[in-house]
Amino acid sequence: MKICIIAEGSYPYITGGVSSWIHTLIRSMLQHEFIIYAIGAEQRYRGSYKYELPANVERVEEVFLDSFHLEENRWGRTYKTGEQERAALQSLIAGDNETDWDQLFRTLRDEKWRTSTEFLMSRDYFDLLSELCRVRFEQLPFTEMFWTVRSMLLPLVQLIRRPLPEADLYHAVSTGYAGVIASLGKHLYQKPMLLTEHGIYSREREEEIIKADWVKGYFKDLWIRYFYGLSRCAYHYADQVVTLFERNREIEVELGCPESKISIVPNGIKVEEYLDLPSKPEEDKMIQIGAIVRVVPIKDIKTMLYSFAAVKREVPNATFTIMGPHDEDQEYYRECIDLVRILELEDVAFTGSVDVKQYLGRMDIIVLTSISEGQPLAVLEAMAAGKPVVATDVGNCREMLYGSEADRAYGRAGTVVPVLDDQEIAKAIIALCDSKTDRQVMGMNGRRRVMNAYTHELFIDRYESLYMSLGLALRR
Amino acid sequence: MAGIGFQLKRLFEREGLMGQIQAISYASLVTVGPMLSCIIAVAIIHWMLVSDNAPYVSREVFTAGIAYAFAFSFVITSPFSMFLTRLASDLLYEKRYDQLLPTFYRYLRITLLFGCVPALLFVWWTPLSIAEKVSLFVLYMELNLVWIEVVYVSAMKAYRSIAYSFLGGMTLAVALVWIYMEWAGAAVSAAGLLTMMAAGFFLIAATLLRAIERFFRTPESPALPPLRQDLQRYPSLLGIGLFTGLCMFWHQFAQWIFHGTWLADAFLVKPEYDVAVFYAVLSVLPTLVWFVVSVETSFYPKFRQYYDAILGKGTILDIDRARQEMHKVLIGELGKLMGIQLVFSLISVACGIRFLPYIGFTAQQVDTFNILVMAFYVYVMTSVVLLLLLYFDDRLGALSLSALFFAANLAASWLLRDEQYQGLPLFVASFPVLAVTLGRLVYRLRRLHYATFSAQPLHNRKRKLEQKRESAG
Repeated sequence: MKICIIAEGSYPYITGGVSSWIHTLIRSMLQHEFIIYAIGAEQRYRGSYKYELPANVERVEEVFLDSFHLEENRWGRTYKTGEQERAALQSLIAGDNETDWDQLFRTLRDEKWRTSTEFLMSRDYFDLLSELCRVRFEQLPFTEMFWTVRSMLLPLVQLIRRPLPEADLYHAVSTGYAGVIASLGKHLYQKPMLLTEHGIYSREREEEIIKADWVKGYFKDLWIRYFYGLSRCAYHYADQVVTLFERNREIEVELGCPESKISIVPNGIKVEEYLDLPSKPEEDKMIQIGAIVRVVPIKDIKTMLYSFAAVKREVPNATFTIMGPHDEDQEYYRECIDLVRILELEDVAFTGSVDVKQYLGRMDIIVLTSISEGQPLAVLEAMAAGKPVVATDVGNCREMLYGSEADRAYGRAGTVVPVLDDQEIAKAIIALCDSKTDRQVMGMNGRRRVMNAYTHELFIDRYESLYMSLGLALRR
Repeated sequence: MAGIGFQLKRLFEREGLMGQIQAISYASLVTVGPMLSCIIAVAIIHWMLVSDNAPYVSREVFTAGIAYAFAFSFVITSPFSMFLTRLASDLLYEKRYDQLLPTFYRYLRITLLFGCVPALLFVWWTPLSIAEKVSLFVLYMELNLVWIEVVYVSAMKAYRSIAYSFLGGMTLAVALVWIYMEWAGAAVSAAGLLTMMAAGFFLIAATLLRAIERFFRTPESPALPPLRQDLQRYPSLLGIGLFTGLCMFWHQFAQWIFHGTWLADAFLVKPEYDVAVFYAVLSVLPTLVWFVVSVETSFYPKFRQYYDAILGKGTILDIDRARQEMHKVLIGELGKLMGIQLVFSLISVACGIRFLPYIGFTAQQVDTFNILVMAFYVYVMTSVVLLLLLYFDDRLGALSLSALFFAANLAASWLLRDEQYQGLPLFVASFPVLAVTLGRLVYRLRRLHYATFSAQPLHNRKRKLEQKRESAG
């Protein structure tokens, strides 16, 4: 089968959970051919891949959200936009529940528009927007509304108008723009669509927008509704929706995804690769604490450093190793370095990008302080390596460390702590530092749970059968 | 002409007849004062020459020379004036004050360069005396200079300076002509008369230049952007200026070509027609005054309100309302303007029939005058509406319509070239164009939201909008 994987803001430009998930999936399915449809934020990323592409990747189709800069502006065009077309566009802008995406795809891809900007500068568009404002947004400052909606629609319209490679199956790795593009694939070529959602895209955008300074108060709601609208498009078109754990499934249902479409496939890891890692030498009397993490704000490295400062006061022989790239957000990295200096922390090391397996075996405890996660690979790796984990209560961490209904029997594999709470985090780490037995027991619990529910083989088998069943459905 | 708005508003808000008279006088002074000074000065000089029995040829060469200098300098400068008006207001808006003076000199040079070409050809080919050639050439070049200066003095909103300098210059010219006639006696020559006139315009040009230098001089003048880049900004304005300038004089040129006689082997003239035009033009003065008054006191505040609603926090309903109000006021004011001008045109026709024969008009000339009055009525309304289109940034519309206007003039002057149709071509050309132009204005007003928003490039929009609002005023 030829599978088109649609990734937004991740593979192959950025390393991290979703990217390495995609990479693993492709490498483990040599029987299939893959096309990567990569949606990047900015043109300047073109061609700068962080991964060596597996041989079964036929090609990478790169598109960027800022490519409208390249188009010439042209205004004054008028076409006869029909009632349904207007309604579909208006409901897209307003973020309504019942958007007619088939109609939208037809309208936006219509060849009567020579460029996508031409559509956004046409009379038809202006009229339908001002009509919408007169009826539904009569309280909003119109000029801001006009520019807000233009910047909302530009990237989407741009993407929808791009040629889309033909494949046997479209697999979006998030909702949002990626979800819309996979839906477009289904619309255009009548091929099945699969959606895997790691984090809940629309929720993440919502959090971002609430915090963002660039969106004025009264437009936050519009932006948020818009992203929920994009997600509903993907839920509507997808034949199967896969998520990693129960809580996400519940949210997806809440957001309008038909329950019958959703199945849960947890991430998997090749446990055997973590069984005989280089271990800590006998003479090493330090307590080695580590974090497998990109140095970016969402991972909340600063809280991690604060909590380590507290740990260090109680456990002077503790060291802290942050294993992961720090080139993505240079400024944040510098702030972290400054914080180390201000806290006068000793025995803290930023390794940069490394082969985690070379370090993991020597660690005593693994920490994760993220503000938002799906099912973090870092925790799976730690568990596979038999290391106890202290992780914030985000994503699926609680279930992974404490067990679900089904596998609670394996016991705790670490401690779940509140987000942003450096004192609680420190307390949990100190408790583990103090008890070698606890560390060993929790490490073993974790390894057993991973072997039961989170293996690479399980994960790949599930996807293989998903691909096959969708492909079969196609052939019938 | 924003800027006299405040003054005018204050004057028009005054109670009582005296207040109104004062207001109208002020508006007239600043709007038609300069033009009127020239017309009156020429009329006085003509009257002096006639009553003094000055040699016929000198008189006629002087009159024809003045007519040619005015017509050609106006046609040559009008593209640059229109373009420079916009460019200067952009520079003012962008606070690039140090570029204003260099820009002025750049376009002055260009205009003079363009202007001197036909003048040099003219003096080369015509058998006039050296003295006549030199004085006429100097006068013509001064006029080119003055029309460009007027753009800048208007930009600094010193309308009164313009009016007073014309008044001063023309008074000087009349006085000098009188002294010269006393001194030369029977030997009055066209060259002498033209020289005196040139002296008057020299005063105007010098006064205006001094005002510009004082107002715009900055310690440093930076390098200007390349000329090409400048001209790419509003190429349409050059075209609009050229076509409207040509339209104004084409009917006269056509008369010269088809029915003119050679004067001193140098000037093609059609004296009967030229005199009729001279008097008929006076009939549109009320529009020239009242247009400025009504734009400044009634229309501009609404125009601003509209753009303020857009630039501020106006909701779509606020913007709709502002547009409707502006629309209503504009159409109302246009109606009023047409009414006022119609009354004055009819009065002019009546007066023409009654009084023009006393100053030697033939029956045919009175007919021509009457037709011309009505033609100028339609012509001036068309120009006013074209100008309003520029307020709404409809440069493409204004360009096409002014080109159409000129084409219609060309066609009408050819089709109605027979002598019995004198004056009719301008009317026939203006009437349909006025209808189309009005249609375009209404259309533009109805679609103003769209034009205002969607014509903006995808980025960098707010600055552009503000600029538009300011420049238009």
